[in-house]
Amino acid sequence: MSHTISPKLYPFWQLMLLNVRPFFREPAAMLWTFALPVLIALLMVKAFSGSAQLQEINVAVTYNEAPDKSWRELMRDDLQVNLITLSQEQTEQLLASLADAQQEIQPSGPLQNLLAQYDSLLILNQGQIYTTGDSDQFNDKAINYLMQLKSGLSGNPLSSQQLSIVGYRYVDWLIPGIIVLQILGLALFSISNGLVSDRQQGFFKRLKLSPFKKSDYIMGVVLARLFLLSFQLLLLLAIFYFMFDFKPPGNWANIAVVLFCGSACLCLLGVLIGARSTRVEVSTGIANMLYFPLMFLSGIYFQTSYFPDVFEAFVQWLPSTAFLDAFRLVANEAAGLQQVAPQLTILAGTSVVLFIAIYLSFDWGDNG
Amino acid sequence: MEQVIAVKDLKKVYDRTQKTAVAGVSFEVERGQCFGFIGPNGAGKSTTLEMLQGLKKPSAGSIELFGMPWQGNEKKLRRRIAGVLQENEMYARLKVVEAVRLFASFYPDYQAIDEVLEQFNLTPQRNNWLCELSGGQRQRVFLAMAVVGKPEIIFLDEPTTGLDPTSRQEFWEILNKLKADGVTLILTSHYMDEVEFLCDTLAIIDKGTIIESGSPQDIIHRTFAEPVIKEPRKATLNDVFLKLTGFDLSGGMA
Repeated sequence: MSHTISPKLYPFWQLMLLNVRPFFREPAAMLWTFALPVLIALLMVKAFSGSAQLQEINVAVTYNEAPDKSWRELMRDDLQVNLITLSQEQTEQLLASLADAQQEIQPSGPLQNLLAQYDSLLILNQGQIYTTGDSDQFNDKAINYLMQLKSGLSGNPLSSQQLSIVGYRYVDWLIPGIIVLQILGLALFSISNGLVSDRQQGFFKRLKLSPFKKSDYIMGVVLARLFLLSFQLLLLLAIFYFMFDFKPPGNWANIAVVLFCGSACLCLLGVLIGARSTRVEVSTGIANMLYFPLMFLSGIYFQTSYFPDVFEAFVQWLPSTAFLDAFRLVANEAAGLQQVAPQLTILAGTSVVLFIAIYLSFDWGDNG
Repeated sequence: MEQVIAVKDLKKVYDRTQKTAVAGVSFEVERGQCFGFIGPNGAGKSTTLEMLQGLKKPSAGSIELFGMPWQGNEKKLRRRIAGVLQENEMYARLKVVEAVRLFASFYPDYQAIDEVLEQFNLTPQRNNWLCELSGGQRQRVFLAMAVVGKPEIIFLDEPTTGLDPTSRQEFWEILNKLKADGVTLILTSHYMDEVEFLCDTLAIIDKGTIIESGSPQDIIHRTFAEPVIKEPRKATLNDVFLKLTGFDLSGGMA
């Protein structure tokens, strides 16, 4: 046997490297674990944050020359407006229907044929505008647009411009949610499935034969994921910064602390899912069972204050909610760590509970 | 010789199926010995080995390694034993040197990694990924991972299954060197030539019990005391195995 003095090796560090290396050596893992989630995050932010373009406005005017001629000409020439002139028969049927019931009409014949062609139609009669579409938002915008056209005739055109206040835009509120969603997905699915694969290959049994420490393994897995996440988050934040002008007024060090605590907690949840599963179908099922409720209850897409009071009190205790609330507070409202202490306490407490649960329940291949 | 393993009336009944895998085995192993288990599939070899390694809890009986039971001594015992499993899959894109270094990190005192790689003829492959290795090279890596912590007992569960004859021969040479260094080897195998070459003592297991034990030559002489073999050759362990278990290892009943 050797008499060489060997350098000190730190097991948790080696175990962390073990979990990091495959991602940098496996092109497919790099694609599915890094590139694709980043792309999805960008698409989601893009999809949810943009202000909707005003669709073409279908305007039907009655045969009896309503409204006034110059307004009608302006609408006819405007590219945003599709002007439809009702026939005499359609006009008469419409007016008869409106006389019977002011808000609900049951068209038939030529009028029915016309209305069936459009999801949304504005009908102009003398001094009246009727709308048929379901979207109040669109209807309001469309009416405003037509009113602006009309106001231009009097020499007082209305101008409209949206004022965007950085830090309070919807995109600023949405981006932390999308980032937490990314971390949640990676933690719940990628970690748990990785553990199942290791178990199927007998890796844990091999580990169990050596004098390794369970805590070293758990720390190694979590630190590896945090290390990988740091690259992903840096990339995402850089893209959000340049593409969506996401410049949170908060302190970046505080943001980093919150991201670290929240990610560590969610990664531990992923480890717990994979702690005993021997089949990917099982771990994926459990991950799905947690992912969707956590996604919808954590306020990623809409504020938790919309929930009923009892429900809202409950969701505040969820680690993903605490993580996201703390993230939004430190990023968008420049809160200090003291101000997010309740959320950090929830994350720390949950992490401790998860760590103990993993420690006690993990299947190292020595059950039975 | 110092006794390093003492097993008495060891039994294993699986809770879920109530199947008896090991029905009461007793044996002792001395330091530096190579002790082998042979038997048909499902005879209880691997279950016995896993109980010895502390991976499965016995239903009854006792196991002592270095005079200590597993209960209350797991930490001490883990530092003194190692194992090579039947499964030889691990992270495909892990380098040979990284795999050995990982397992070295678990031991307070470990052998120099370069020295282990040299010992197992793995120096040229030190930076190769595990998925790039042949079956024989990969099995040597798993043995290197086991040996790097300077274990006194190594458990090997069918370590050469699936290897070509050259790789098996290389593997046997390495095991013989370890034995010469005083390491105790506990082996299960389906290969008669393997146990005959490596083992000082053998136990033939069938239906969870040891039906014969002793040195390979003693077993052969005891089983074929009378000149019953009509073929013009000496009896081998394969003949013993067929006679005692009725199994043909190449495919079912003889």
